Amino acid sequence: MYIVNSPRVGVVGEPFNPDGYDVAYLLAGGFIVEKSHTKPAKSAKTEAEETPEE
Amino acid sequence: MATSTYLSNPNVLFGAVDLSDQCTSVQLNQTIEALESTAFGGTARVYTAGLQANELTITMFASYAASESWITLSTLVGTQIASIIVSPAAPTVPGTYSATNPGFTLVGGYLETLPVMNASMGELATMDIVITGGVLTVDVT
Repeated sequence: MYIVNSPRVGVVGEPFNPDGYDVAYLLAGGFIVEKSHTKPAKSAKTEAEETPEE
Repeated sequence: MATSTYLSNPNVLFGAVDLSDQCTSVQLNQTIEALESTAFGGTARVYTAGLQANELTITMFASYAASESWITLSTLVGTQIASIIVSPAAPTVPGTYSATNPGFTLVGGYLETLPVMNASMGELATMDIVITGGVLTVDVT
């Protein structure tokens, strides 16, 4: 998913429909940014977290 | 009754990038080369249509800030630009043109030269770019 990053291509922060456009050029120029679909990974639990302090 | 239109606010799009607010002049010439087809028995020279040889000339302010004219064009020098659309006015709905506000679309025009510096004392710096070739279509839908 691409997001508008410059007012020259639309409203900043809104989704950008890449159909028919040179996406590599727009990304390189910073006009749009790519937003990942994946959720951020949860941090791994450590032993210290699992063992309550006495 | 004769009418005239004063084009004070044309729209200039390099792909999806709107550089209209940097442009001060734009001229798009639709040219189809004339091939002479005069033959024996003819009484005047006659011509037939050859290849398109379109040319787009734009004058714009030279701005080196992010998302402005220089950075937008710098990676396009020496390339066939995917599409440039010029129209008499910005469409109310982006990408939607009409018979009274046609979108002249040049696909594959070649940018040979980019004036990277054109400075004079007491003047705003501008750059004149010429895009040659490419296929011209007119979007009126």
